[in-house]
Amino acid sequence: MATVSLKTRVYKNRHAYYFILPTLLGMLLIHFVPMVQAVYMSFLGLNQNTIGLYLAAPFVGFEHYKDILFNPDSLIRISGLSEAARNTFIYTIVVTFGTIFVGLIVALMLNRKFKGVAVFRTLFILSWVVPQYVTGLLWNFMWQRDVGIVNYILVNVTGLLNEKPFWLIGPNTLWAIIIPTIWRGWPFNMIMLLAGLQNIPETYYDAAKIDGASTLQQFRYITWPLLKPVWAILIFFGLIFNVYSFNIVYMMFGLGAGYPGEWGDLLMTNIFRATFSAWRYGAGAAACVILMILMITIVLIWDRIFQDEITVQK
Amino acid sequence: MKSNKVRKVVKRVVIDFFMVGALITTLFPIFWMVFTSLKSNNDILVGHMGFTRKANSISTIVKAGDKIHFGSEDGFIGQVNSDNTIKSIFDVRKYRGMSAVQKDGNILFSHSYGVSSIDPFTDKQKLLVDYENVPWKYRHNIRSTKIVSVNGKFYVGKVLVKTESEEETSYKGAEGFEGLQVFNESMRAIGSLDTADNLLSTTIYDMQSDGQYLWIAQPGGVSVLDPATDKVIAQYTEEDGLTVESIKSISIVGKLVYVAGLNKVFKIDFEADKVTALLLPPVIPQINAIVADSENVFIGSSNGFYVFDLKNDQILTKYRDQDVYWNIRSMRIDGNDIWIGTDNGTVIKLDKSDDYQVGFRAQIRTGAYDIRWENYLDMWENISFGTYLKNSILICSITVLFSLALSTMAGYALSRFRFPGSVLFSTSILSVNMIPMLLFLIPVYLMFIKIYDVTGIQFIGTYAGIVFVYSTFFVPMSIWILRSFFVSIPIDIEEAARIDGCSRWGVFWRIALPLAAPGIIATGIYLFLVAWDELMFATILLPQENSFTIPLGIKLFIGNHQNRFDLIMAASTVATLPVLILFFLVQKWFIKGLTAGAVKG
Repeated sequence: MATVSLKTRVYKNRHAYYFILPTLLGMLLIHFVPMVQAVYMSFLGLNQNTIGLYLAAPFVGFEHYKDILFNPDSLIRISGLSEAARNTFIYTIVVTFGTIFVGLIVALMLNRKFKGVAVFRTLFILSWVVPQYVTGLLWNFMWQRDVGIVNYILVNVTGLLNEKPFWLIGPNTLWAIIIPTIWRGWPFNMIMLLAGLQNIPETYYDAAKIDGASTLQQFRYITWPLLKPVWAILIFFGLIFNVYSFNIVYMMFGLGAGYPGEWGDLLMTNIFRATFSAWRYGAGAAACVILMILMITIVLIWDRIFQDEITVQK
Repeated sequence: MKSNKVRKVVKRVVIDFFMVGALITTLFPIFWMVFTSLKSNNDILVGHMGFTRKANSISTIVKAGDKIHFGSEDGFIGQVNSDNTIKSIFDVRKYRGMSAVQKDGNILFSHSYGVSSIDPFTDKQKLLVDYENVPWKYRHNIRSTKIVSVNGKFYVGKVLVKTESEEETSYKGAEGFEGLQVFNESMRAIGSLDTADNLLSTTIYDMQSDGQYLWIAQPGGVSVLDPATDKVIAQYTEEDGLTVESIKSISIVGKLVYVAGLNKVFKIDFEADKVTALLLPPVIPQINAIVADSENVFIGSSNGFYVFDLKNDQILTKYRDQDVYWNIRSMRIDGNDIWIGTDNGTVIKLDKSDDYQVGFRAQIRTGAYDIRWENYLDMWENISFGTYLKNSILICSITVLFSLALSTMAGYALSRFRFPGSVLFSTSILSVNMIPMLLFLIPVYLMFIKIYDVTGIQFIGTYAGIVFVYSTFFVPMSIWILRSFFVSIPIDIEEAARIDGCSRWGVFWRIALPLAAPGIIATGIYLFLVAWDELMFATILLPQENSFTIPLGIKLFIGNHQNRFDLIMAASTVATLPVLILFFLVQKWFIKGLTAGAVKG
């Protein structure tokens, strides 16, 4: 094909530009301009005193970055940023793989032929429709030590534990935020995996059966590899959504006013408090930029791992 | 071969078992949310897991003919037969709170829905007075406290109660439904009295007539009403020596009036205008009812029955042994018999001449389960939930409209054209997800402040600001979903239309849009769900209470002054309902749209 000059190609596709123009303008205003500003702000000493100066606030160079990365006694670090980072790490890994695990099991159960499969599928999705803030409120109530249903079931009904544990104080807190997130998140993964399962041709399994493959072997050698495009995408989404998870934790602890504790704080809630409750806008922006760079790195690694299997249409 | 078949069945049953288990586990929290929203907050805070039963205390005992009748708090009216059995005459659970008076051989029962007349011989019941003008919102909260007849007039005391605390706090906008209502012989309302007519309060605990005047027990003391003029002619309050906050019960013997409140009983001599307190030992807790005769005052307290000997000025404690340990609600004296109605629905007869032995005892049915539908009404009173709901719906709908307009066009362009920059555009759409929202929020917030400083246009706390931000923020995700919808529409039709001379815009508007309608609707619903759930931007950009969305408003249920799990759960249920309905409406397209993007992409 002969090379067509750029000008011709632009002219030929001019309608496409009309179509994307409003979106482009909006994204420029609300995505691009703020992003550039945020990166610039991360070098500024923006706080409650200099907020009126906006972009004319004093330039502090890499001060915030140094504070965040290397100075454990800095103002932004002492409010528990490192604990939040540790929690976010554990939280993201457990939730991402937990939701895929639960979603896969239920998807396999639903990928059989039985009466009422549509009803079951619909009912299973319900917990995903519950808004995240409701999830936070609801589980906050269910985790209550004395009046919560979880402790009631663990102690009074089943007798698994002798004494009612505190869920919203101490190391248990991490589980108290992981479990609701998995509860809220897995149906989405289930929908995706189920769609993936239904795309696998039945003939593969028939062939495997003739060769005498067990159910486990069928899963190991047919289902799991063929689902790879789906779970790869789900890992991608899971990593991003869970690192940036905010609503559930925010609503679960003190309804936004309180500190979720050393074991309940996530990066987003921590930086959010540092930025808007402690008025450290510059430092908050710096933390966000670091997080963004980290996420882009992770996504690039993800892309390297799965690039052969996945061809995301661009 | 046969064992293979058995194994298959077993496997199937095991999987089914686990699937149902998983379903129950998943749905349980949702069920628990709805369940808790119907419980009373007191039950929640003391850790009752199920519903408790409402009290079914015997609130009134009356004699008609030669038979004793009684009415309970939970709408039960019974009659004690001569063979010492109880006969149910009338049982309507919605008739909350009972009080009774005799009228021409019939009994008038005053309750939360009006006044019913019952013929004790034929058991025929008729609703004489219907409180039909009570606003539906307060229907559940109205209680009739007492009905009394003096000089051919009937006086009914009404009060609106807050169900949670059972405190006598007025609801806003419910004026005119509390206080004392006056009816004539044929039960026509002929007037009403409240604090403007010098009553101490609109709340009325007890009323008795001495044949001439009406004595009204109230928070603050006792009012004496002259039925001839319907004017308050005297009041006994703290200044006159009634040293308790409110008077709960009145008993009149001849010219002497005994009144009781908290743990004290006072004797009022109306003619001498003198108040004296009876010397009660401090062991008596809350007194709920008293009756008196010329020698004794019988005291019904929350831990039992006491007899006060007026001659010796002391309590005859020997009549309060362990099995006379009732929480007494109402009493009536009838010759030698003292009738007692307790809190848990027991009717007891004590024989005065026989050393106060229990001559009769019967228990009526338990109260109904205390299912608090009114939590869903209280929720709107407690915080201005309506405003928040309105804000949420408006913000989300406008956001959906705007971002759909943007993203259908962009999605269409991406699916139909391979223009220079299309790769950059779609890559940037995907990678926007990798940037934390907070990174945008900080500059947007500071930018809005600056804009206000410079131009005076306020974006913080207004729909305009939040809608503008939301519309653009949710666009990338919806472009991604919509693009796959447009890809799945065959391009042939559009090409045919182009040949027929349709413009690019015409093709998009007349052909592509209608064909992609299911996808567009599904995407719109998805956008609505996401916007409905947005919290971080709303917290910062909507700081004033009148611009709150639901999640910000719900926070007010747990604050310095309250800890209302019941209302939080009710509000959560209401907040979940719209998205649940929307989801069910478009479930099929919705799942298709989501999976088409990921699985094929």
